[in-house]
Amino acid sequence: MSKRIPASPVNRKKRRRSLSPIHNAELPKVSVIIPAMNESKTIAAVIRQADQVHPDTEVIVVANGSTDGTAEIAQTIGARVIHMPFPLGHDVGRSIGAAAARGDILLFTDADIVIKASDLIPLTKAVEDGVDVALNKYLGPTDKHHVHSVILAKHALNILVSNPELKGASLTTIPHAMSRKAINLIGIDNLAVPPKAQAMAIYNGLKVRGVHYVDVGRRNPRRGRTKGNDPLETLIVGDHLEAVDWLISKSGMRGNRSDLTRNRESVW
Amino acid sequence: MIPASHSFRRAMKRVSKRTRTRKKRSARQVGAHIFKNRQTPNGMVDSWKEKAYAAGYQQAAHEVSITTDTPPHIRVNESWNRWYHSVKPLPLTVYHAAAAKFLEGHSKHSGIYLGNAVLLPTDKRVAAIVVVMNEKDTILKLLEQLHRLPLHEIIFVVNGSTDESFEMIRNQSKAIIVHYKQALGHDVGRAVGAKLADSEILLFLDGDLPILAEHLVPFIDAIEQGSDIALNDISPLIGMFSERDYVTTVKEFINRSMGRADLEANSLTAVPHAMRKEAAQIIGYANLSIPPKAQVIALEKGLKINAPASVDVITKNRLRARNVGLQNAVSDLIIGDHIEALKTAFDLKGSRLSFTDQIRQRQLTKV
Repeated sequence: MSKRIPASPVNRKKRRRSLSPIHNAELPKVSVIIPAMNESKTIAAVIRQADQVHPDTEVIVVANGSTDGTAEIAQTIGARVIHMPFPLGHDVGRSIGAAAARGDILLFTDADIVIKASDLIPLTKAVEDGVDVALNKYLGPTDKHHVHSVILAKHALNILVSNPELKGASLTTIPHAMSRKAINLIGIDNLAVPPKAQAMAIYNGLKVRGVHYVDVGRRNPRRGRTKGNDPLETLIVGDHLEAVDWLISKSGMRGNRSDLTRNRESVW
Repeated sequence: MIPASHSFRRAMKRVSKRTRTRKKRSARQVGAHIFKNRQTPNGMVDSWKEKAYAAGYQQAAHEVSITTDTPPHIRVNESWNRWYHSVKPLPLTVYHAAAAKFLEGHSKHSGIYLGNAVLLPTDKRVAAIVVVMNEKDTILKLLEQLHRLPLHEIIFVVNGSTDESFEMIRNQSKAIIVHYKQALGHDVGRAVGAKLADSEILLFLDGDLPILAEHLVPFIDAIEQGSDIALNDISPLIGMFSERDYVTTVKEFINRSMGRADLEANSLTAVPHAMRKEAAQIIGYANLSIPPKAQVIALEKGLKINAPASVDVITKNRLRARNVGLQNAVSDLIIGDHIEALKTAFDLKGSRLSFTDQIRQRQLTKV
């Protein structure tokens, strides 16, 4: 279980510690990829936790469209910073970061939530132990009648790609880790559309597992029933549809499902 | 008369609001929530019963005894509609009580006795389409209920039956029977029946699921009110999201993807449902064999779909070897149907439907 660490360090000891820069490994085992846009309040703590995931770690911050000094803070702490002056749009930073990553294991997280290293390590450990895509088991609120469209889409996609045991575990949710093999098979560009990447991984027989529960719910500002005017909700549902469209392109119009004894030609 | 019906309508509104909050609180409660406005004061019911009885008697008195081929049940239904359309809408609880009294009044004068017949709130021709495959245990009960309705056609599509279903229907009714020695496969019988039917409203049923005639009325009423498709509202029957089966989740996803979150998990896959014949033609009869695909096409063509009433088809569904367990052959087929439906939607509206990602700089991901 994760607890959020307060964004503003009150404790002086902590503040002093945060001044010493991290050290990126020459030959990293784990690359942590952190897309960031105006997250100057949390970025330092996020980088520091990420750095502790493995002795040989590199931390890559993809700072895009930031005007609050996020990139400069990341630079000062010692992360590898890829600087883009304009916003990349949702999840594009993952592709950019992955392209620069040198590790065998890629760990993806976000800059707006500080997740303790102890909640990140189970994911990279699972990949070390043979899982190709290690997902956060967090599902969001599902003990209700009408769930959020994003939760519904995540569950539906896993059912449609024949991996319903994952329930709503998804590459859309951070944190998650991937093997180099998974990255190569999925293709770096497809990481920007996480549900599609997930469909590709599952369809191609990669080991995709929910391995650890990290509560990332509280950072989502909008929950419950929305009237469909949330652009992020629209984007994520669209991503899932795009994933289904990809699945159909590979497995036919019924997704390799049986028609049983249906005699379609009986009616015209 | 006018002020009375006014306050009456207001009373209805209040009642249905109360019912809605109760539905939310006990969403898991299983049962047929047919009458969304159950609580009607007794006095009101009694006054409508009296009026209906008098109307039935008068209508019978005015009917000139022309000998027609029209069956008595349908003739009485026409009389009923002449009166009902001048006083509607009645809440469904009052509706059935009033209709029964109308029949009583009518029979008092005409001598036509129709037993516990049910009257429909429409003059349109109605066909029941029933798909049958080895349903000898349920078919008579189902026939009994259908015979209580003033239907213009009953079409049984008997396919792949090895029991005496066919003989039982033949002996007990004048229904049209379409017989196929081989099994037509899932839901194909519906398409066959729909194409054959010569009625304005089509009511789709399964042979293994007898439903009380009264519980079928809201679906026909919805079409009469202007709907193109009236689905069974399964929302009160499916429980919390986390407890649902895969098929239900996929049904809800497709409605949400088509911009119809309000339809929840309601689907043409489930019976009973009613459809305007013309809607079936617009969708394409063959497409009715793949119900989710028919639903997507209907939505895309702008047909009006709603879910006016709930009939519990979940706990009553007959268990067969193929539909037991979380993942079974039938659920696999239905999920395939939904993938096919999504494919149809993608072909019409693109791979993201109306869910764009304009803010995303995709060109930068190509490294």
